[in-house]
Amino acid sequence: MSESNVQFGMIPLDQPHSGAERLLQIVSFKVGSEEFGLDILRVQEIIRLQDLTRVPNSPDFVDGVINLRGKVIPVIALRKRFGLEEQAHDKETRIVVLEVQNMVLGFIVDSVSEVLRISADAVVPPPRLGKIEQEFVSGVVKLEDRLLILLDVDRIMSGPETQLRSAAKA
Amino acid sequence: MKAESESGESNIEEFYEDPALLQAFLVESQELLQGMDQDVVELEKAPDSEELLNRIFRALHTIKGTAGFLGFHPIVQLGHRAEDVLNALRRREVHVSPRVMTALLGARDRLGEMLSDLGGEGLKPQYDTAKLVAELEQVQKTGGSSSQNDIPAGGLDGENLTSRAGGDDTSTPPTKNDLASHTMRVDVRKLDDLINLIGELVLERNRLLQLAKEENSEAHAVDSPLSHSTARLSFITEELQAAALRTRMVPIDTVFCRFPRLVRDLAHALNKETDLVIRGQDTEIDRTMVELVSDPLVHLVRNSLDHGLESPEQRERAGKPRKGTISIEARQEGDRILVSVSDDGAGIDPARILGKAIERKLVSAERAGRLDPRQILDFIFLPGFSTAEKTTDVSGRGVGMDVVRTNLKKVNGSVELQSRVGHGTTVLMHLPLTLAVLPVLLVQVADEIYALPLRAIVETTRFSATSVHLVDGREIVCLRNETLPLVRLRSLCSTKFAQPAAEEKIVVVAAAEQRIALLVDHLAGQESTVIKPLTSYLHDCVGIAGATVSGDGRVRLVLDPGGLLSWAANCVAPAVLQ
Repeated sequence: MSESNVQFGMIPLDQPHSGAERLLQIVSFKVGSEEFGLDILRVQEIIRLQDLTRVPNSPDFVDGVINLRGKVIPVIALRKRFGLEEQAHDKETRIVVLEVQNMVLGFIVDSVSEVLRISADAVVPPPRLGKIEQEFVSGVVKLEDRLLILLDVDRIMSGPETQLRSAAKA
Repeated sequence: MKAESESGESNIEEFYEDPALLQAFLVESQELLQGMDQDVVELEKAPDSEELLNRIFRALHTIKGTAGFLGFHPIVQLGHRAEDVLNALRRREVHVSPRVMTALLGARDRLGEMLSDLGGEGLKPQYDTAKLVAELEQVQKTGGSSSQNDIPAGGLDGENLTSRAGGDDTSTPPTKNDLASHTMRVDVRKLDDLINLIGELVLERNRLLQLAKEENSEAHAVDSPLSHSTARLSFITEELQAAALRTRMVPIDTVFCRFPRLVRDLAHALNKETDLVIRGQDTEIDRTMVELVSDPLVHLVRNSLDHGLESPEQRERAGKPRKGTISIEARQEGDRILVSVSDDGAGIDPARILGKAIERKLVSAERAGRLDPRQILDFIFLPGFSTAEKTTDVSGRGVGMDVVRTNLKKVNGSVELQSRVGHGTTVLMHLPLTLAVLPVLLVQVADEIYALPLRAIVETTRFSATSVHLVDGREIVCLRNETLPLVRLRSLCSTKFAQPAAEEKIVVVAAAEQRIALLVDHLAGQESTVIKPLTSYLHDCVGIAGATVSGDGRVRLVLDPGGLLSWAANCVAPAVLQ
């Protein structure tokens, strides 16, 4: 019942004064040494880590399922998805809940930093990024002192989806 | 009818505009047509039944009357022609014959089409009814009638009929009317919402029970007001749940009623002679199950007709009556509904199945020798498996049984097949009574708790390592002279290498016709839970049917007995785990 009321996405974006500049609101979080960003409109909520129930025979990067107010949703460890080494969860660990392809799911991230407002013009196409598969990245934002990698959630999930399907057929 | 149309004359426009009235007309008419379908087929078998004839007449007349009143002329015209034929039948100017019945059914189908158009985009301006009407007229005339009734005035005939029918047939229609006044139409979604909410309530009650238990054990007060209150709450919740679930139950007749027609048409098409016997149509099933059962049943009945029953000539040669019998039966057994489709046809020859399986490399010739008949019949359920030499319109593409099993698996049901060569085949479908609540046994391995549907459990017993034998690289347990494959739940879990409990337990799980011994650490109690599906990412996890939320808010996975069986069959000998 209450799910839909707790959406961060309900925060209205600033209307550009002259229409010259489009603003994006980005939730930034850390996975490994990098800082990532997601469009706030995609994010339903951010919750603390809770007890995960592991699912036998599930794909590797699916860490388990959690109970989100009566709904059972899968949780995906972004570290594993990005091929980074695993790390014990601590009090900074969060689950970012979002909807991808009509499914609610959670991403486990090392920590959530802040909500940033950036101009859409500040987003540049991704350079080569080494470890993290480039296909997950929709763009890069250069901030004053650091770099923010914008994730393309649809692509993150379309990968495993196809893997899963083919695994099932095999 | 007549009175209605007179009083309605002044505000026809208004009524026509009224979507609620139109909707009511559509719903009523569809129901009547459905009943008519059955009745016409029945009439073919019992040509002298006036009651049937009258019922068909009444149904048609009601539709025609209301359609006229609402101004849907094409329906009126066609209805009228069909009525003429019925009239002739009643006057015994025409006799019941397949041709007459086919014409009537044709008219019925066309009316159904018009009605669904009416419900959708609206009536098309032109319907090609010329052929149908000609056939109806032809049929009416060839019966020897020359004194054709000149367009009987609207309600007159029906009026007579209704009063007469009321006289000689007091049993069925009055009870139907009675029932109607006590029922109302409710959108299924509203009911589903209600049942979902009650599901959440049950979960919350479980949580409360647990809290109360903890509270009480601390205070040593078993007799506290809190425990009284929770006990009452528990009771009321259960009653509420049962009452809400009953609202969703419908007689399985809603599924069965289409079969007389289907079987009749198919038998004609296949040149076979068939009697259809339907039993237990009053058995109630969950509304949501209706659609899910319907398709598998159609598959099974088609299979029986096409593959099962032999042609009349073959049957005579085999010393059987020319007419084959197909029976569809439903009954409730405990918390399950059993629906079976049987035929007295040729049966399934295991040797042919096996031959096909070896040919398609589904099993090695060496292993094939060791399969028992049940395992052999199981091949039928594999996707794409068919022994039919040629594909017909009706069946033989090898999709049928696979679909049946998948559909049933979706609702936690199962299917089994019994067949005797020369005597016929029975397919038995097991369905849960309801989809909403699932009684489960909780089993524990290390610190993981899983839920096992209670209906799949045959027994639980202690495990002793000495009863395990290795056969063919697989572990087998002997239990009261029965040998069961041993499956260690541990090897499915992530805690593969944790130390097993000192006294492990065996849960004997049955799915379809097979059994396995499932080895777990502890039995952790029983619960009634609401099963929730896993998202599509996790649909393909073998052995997992879904999830439930436990009293403490954690997610518990529900094991799928059928999946466990197939998983057990494929997994490597777990000796390495020792």
